[in-house]
Amino acid sequence: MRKGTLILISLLLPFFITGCFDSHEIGDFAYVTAMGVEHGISDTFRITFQISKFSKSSGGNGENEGGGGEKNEEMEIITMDSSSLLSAVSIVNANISKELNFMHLKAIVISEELAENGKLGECLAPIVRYRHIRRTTNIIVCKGKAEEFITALMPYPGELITRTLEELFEKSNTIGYFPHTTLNDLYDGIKSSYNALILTYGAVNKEEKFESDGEFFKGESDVPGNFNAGDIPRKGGSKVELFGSAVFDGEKMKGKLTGFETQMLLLARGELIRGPFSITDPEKPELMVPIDIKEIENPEIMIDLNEDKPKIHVKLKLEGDIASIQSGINYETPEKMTIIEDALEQHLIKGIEITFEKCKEFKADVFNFGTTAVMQFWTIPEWEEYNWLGKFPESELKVEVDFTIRRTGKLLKNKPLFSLEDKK
Amino acid sequence: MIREGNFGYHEAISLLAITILAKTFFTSPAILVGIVGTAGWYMTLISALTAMFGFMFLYLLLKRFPNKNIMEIADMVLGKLGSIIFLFLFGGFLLWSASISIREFAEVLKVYVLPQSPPSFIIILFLITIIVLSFMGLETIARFAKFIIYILGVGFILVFLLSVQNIAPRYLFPLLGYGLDKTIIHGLLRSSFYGEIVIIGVIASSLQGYKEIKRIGFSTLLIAGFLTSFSLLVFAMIFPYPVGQEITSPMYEMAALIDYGGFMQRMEPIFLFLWNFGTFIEVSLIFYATLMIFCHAFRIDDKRPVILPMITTLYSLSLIPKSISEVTSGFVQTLRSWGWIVYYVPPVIILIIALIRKKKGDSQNA
Repeated sequence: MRKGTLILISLLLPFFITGCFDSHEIGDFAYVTAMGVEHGISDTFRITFQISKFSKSSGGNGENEGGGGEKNEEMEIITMDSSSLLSAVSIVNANISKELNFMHLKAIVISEELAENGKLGECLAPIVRYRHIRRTTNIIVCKGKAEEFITALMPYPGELITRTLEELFEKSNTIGYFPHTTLNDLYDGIKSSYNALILTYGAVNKEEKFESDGEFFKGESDVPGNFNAGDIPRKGGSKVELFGSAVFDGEKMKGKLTGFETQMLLLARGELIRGPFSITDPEKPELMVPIDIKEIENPEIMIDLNEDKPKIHVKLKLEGDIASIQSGINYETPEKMTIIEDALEQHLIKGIEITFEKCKEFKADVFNFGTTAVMQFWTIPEWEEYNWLGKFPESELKVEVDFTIRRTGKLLKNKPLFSLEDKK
Repeated sequence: MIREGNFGYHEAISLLAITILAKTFFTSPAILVGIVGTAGWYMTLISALTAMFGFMFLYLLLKRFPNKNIMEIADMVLGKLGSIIFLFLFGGFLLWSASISIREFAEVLKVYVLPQSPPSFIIILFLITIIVLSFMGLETIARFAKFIIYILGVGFILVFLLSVQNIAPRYLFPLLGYGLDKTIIHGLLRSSFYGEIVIIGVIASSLQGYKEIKRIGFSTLLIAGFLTSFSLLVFAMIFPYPVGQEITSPMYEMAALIDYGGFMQRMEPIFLFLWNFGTFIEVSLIFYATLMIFCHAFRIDDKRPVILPMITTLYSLSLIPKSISEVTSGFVQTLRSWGWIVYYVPPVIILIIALIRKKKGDSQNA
């Protein structure tokens, strides 16, 4: 009897708790995949939601059905002015049949203007409290309007926008032209006493820098990647590009680093696993020598705080492979190889020093040197009293790079080109 | 009538270790960072050592009265009235701490997972499980703890291993946090974190003698101390001290930060599993210990009729705090800072009185 009652209660109990207060069906929500925040006109902030509709193509043939058929993604963009994210969400929810859901939010885009006006603490930092938005959400500072950026943000053909964005951000540590920054980094960065905040810089490329007509280029090439998003001379492909980084002092954006400078920064932070670099050919300056480099050890950072000005010493250990030699000079020989090694070392030292000077001007330790300096302090009050972020602009940097060429690609050596003109 | 039954070394350690460790899943780590900064991970070791010192007196008391639990010892040493007063205070304190754990659990669950559900709904569902476990008896709770500890252990290791990607060891600096003096003072005070170890005195009759109790007590404190320290160490290496003190449930956030690309992210469900089952065991044990104390104090042999009224009391107590802030900065903070008075001082007093009044139990081998 007792057992029977228990079994009956156990069987009946699930029926009473199935419709608990938080139960939702997957179709109850409108999934926001990207969100833009900028200054509003009729209220404090203008918030743009990119809502993706994830559904299978209805017109697929029999072969596609049930076998991972082609995905058809439709986007809806909703923009509204509001005093806060929560107000915007509730107003939008009142006007659509679904409920906005941020569990699949992949990127939050802030306009450069908003960032420069120091509104991060007001508009973005409070978002970490909002339970739907994950701390792993990527953050981008965009040139121009965030609304325009969100509208131009399209998936790679045949892919979901969420996957496109995930893959795009993963490129950061293998290319290094932009940092991979999340909401967690943003929040840590604006509150940190160790270092300053850096965020990914993005823009809509309007193809203005691409010149279709004109004379052929002559002279020495600039350092590859020495520009910001929106200024890349290209045509076609995705309209949106991520390139360079936005540097902050606290919650206020102080300036930008170009793609190349961001590479230098990530190299000094030990966050660039490998990356492509091109140096001017030491013997034919109008040509380039592209090299694939790899950081084989974490950077060794020493900081001397005994004098008024902090003295920072960074040692990098790298190795790499020559990707191509445009000049055809036989740099593969052991005697000539050191020329390339020295040239790359000097190139990186100069690059890191330029980036460091720029960050000093911004008064922002985005190199994270503070995380090394803090090791010389015993207590938090001592550390906070020293005020590392205040001392950083006075600091001096010495960089040492030890670079070794390991391989020379698919060619062991270069034979001279043969042409009749040269024979004459 | 519910039989307490007997259980062994592994069951008892599982039961007590889970009960102590479940608290790391809630707001305590964040509050700790606010107090001692980066020094929380070794401050808790000071607390564990202090708890061992406090436990030593309980052990000496249980050794003096073999095969007796703390309630029986109190009867013998303090007399009927003195014993009732002590048991009433001790039982009341345990019930209050169980109510705080339940409310903290419900509030944190509401913040992260069930925002629409009223706290009472979450608490009632939770209490139904406690009722079932209580009707099953102490032995069942202990055996369930032993069964679940392996699963919880795997989940615990998995969450920490996967969090490696977010670790920055330099966040541990400055090593002394807000100062060594603060770390030591709070380390001593917060020995209350390990205070549930004194429940061993309540369940002593179910264990295999005072030598076993000594092994169980010290092993539990060593394991719980090490694992708590390890959890706080990982947490301190993931969240820098200015941010760490703001987070409602640092361990949940830590699991939520795990992201190895499209196929390995959103690991919080593993944490939720640890969290729920850990708290079930924690509250079940504390509640059952309270039940045993009250039934002893009022000479009630059958505990079953007392379970529902006491659950109702527990439910009502858990609804007293107005908000999560009152729970975390008021009740939990008071419990962690001053709970040691109730946990560790009474056994010392009883032992001293026993020595003065020359009260002693029968020899274990007699």
